[in-house]
Amino acid sequence: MILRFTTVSLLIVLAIAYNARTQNIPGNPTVHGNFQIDAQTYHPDEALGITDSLLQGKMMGMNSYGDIRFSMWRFNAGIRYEAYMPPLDGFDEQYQGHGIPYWFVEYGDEKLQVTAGHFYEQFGMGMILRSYQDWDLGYDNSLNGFRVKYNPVNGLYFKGLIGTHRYYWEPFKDNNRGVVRGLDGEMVFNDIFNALKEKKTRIILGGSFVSKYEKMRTKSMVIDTIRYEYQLPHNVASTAGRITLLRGGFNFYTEYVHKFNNPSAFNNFIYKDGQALLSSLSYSQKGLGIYVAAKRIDNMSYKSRMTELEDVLDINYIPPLTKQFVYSLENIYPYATQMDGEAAIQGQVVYTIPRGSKLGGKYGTKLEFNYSRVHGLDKQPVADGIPVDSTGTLGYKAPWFSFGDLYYQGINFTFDKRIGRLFKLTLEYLQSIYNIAVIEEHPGKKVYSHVFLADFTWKINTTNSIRFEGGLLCIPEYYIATSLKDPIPKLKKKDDPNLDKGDWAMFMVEYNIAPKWFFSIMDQYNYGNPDKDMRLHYYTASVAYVQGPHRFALAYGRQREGLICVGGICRQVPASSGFTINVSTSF
Amino acid sequence: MKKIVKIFSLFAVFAILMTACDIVEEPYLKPVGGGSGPGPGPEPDEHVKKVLLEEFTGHKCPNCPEAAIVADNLKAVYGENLVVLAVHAGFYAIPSASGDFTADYRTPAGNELNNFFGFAGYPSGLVNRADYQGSKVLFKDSWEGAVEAQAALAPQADIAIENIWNDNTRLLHCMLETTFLEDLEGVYNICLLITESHIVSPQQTMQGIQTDYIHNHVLRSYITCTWGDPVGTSGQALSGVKQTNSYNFTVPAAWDVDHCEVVAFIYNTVTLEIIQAEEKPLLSK
Repeated sequence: MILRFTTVSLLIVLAIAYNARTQNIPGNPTVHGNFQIDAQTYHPDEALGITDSLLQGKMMGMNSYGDIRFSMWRFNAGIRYEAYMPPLDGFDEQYQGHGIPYWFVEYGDEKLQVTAGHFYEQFGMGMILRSYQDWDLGYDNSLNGFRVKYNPVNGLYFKGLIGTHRYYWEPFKDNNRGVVRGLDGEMVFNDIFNALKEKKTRIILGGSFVSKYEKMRTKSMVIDTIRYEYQLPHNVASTAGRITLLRGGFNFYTEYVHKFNNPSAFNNFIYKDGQALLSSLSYSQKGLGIYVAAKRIDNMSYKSRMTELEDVLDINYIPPLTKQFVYSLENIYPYATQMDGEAAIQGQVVYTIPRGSKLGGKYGTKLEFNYSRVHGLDKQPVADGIPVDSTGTLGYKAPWFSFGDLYYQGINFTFDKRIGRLFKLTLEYLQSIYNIAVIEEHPGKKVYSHVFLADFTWKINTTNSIRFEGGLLCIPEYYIATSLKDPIPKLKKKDDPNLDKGDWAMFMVEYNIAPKWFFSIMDQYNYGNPDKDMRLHYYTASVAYVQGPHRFALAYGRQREGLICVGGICRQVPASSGFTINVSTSF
Repeated sequence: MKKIVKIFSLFAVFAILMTACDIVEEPYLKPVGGGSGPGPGPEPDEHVKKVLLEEFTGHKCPNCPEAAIVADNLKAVYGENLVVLAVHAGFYAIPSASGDFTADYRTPAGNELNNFFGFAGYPSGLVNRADYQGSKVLFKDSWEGAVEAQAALAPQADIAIENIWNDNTRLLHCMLETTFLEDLEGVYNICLLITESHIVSPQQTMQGIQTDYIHNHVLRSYITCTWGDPVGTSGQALSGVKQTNSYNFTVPAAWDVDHCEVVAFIYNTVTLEIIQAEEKPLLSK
């Protein structure tokens, strides 16, 4: 009832706004928004194991939304309608349905801003609190409640919020999830203190407090015929501090989060406190960018429901220290952040050889190097005779500077060069080690892979261009251990689970007639799959037409099974075969 | 400057309030009594709500043994008032052509239910096929809360199971007598199935393959169709009226009848919510 009232109210407001805009009413009313429809048909495909009985009559799926925003004077309002009828494969079935999961009204002046309804928010890097939406991942943990932002003096910023997370279409009732409360403050020293105004070094200090309240139900376990009840905290709090230092081209950032005892399904109901530390240093000048970062997280899953295991109801977010790759073969083994604990480092250098130099040529040459390495924690028993991660205990001890198993390593080089006025060439190499047992919970241990890519664009004339992309992903049959803890495998290729799906080759041709038409054909061939029956071609042909803000796209082909990851959060996508239709527009 | 100090003081006060956090000291587990069931069984005429926990599992699922332990713990707590059913279905239940996992514990009904409820991962479960915290499909750590919530509801029907077993023909005749305790809206169906326990067969665990794993409460077959038959003839819930449904089933020779049980349950055909379950050893009358 409340939702219906809100919807009608917002629609009336939008209608007034539209009318106002056409009649030149003061307050500068504006309405803007966007719509997107993603549909896919599903066909039986014997080679992929997709049969009529598996499809269960599901011949088509569709995810779509319409997002409209209105602003006038000091007010903002927004509404988003979503429909999943039924959801596309790989999206949670609980999304099935349609409705308005997101609306808000907001008032604000220079000092104060108040939001009622749904909102997205982030404190610091998000390690203590982040609510956001990613349409491609099917991820939305918007908060529904109130938020206040207050800026009492220049350089001092406060945020306070209270709300409950979105859980598919399920409204908050009967304590079916917890309430999240948060407070964040940030001081820009140079803006507050006159003595620092002209200093070259800028200092920004921030702090956050977040607390979850959840009415806990009984949880018990039986040990030797005695029933024990867990002592579960109704309130779980966390605190964070952060500092940013800026000087010239340097940028230093560090943030530390401490989470108090938070026994949950995710950590097997252990009572250890959680910790997260992230530090980064970057330097940039014309033609050169350097970035180094290190991170250590320990027991940092923080959800607004104790029993939740899926990627929903997350209060916080841990940024990945791995590169987000562009090419499809590089994304066959993407890294997913392990919230129970990991230690990671990343280094990245981007250098452009100046134009006019011998190596730079007429247009300059861009070189990029990235190195990422992620380890698990070195978990040790809390006491003799208590196995690591035992439920109802502190779980484990993890020394700060001792690391566990290797989860991921990526070494990546990119060479990017324009050749004359008409051609552009990109060459890329990625060597990765991917702990498939930890990241995907698949049999096997680590997949060692090499990816070679070439991307060549020929600009035929001002409107026509053609792009070729080719690549190989190779998994060597024998490999050397990268850590003394890793035994050197002596398995034959067909038996070795570390080979996963084996070698891949891909080729793509894209033809663009700017600005309206786009055609492409692509094939990914799993020629090295240890299972000969699965050495399949995953082909796609697609066409897109763009007319101003409107875009129509149609594709036909096979989609390989795998993970789609954005920012360390991943979605499992099953194999499928059929047509894909996308329509989008904005205004 | 004073203004800033004031604001920071306010901020600090708020921060203290916000961090109001329940710090739990050891021991984290508190003994609350015996674990062999909820005390003495019900009196002969006492009506008891019995809850059905359907655990969707597979012999190749490394996390599933932990879920089986959760189910066993709950069974220890709730005793006869909890009926546990291990449904082998989905990706992890597919047998291999050779090796340790050649056994096929899947059933047509299990496959149908698995597809119908659409499990995102395994192990997953259904507790009376009722919503709990917004979802029917529950991971193992939600089972206890869901069972507790369902067990607290008032019983709405009784089911009596009577088995007649012919050892020569291996024919089981099963008579179900249902008595609704109140008039209820809607149509109610009754389902009947057989489970087998003490099946020694390999199971993937987090530590590797355990070849002598004991599988309990394994769904062997639905005797009714997957969605059952109307209670009595019409499925109407009329208080105090005894309604019967009878079935014959030939038990395959490979099943050890000493460890088989028959399970019956009644559910609302619109909400799919199970209102009562009952379990009885196959060899008991």
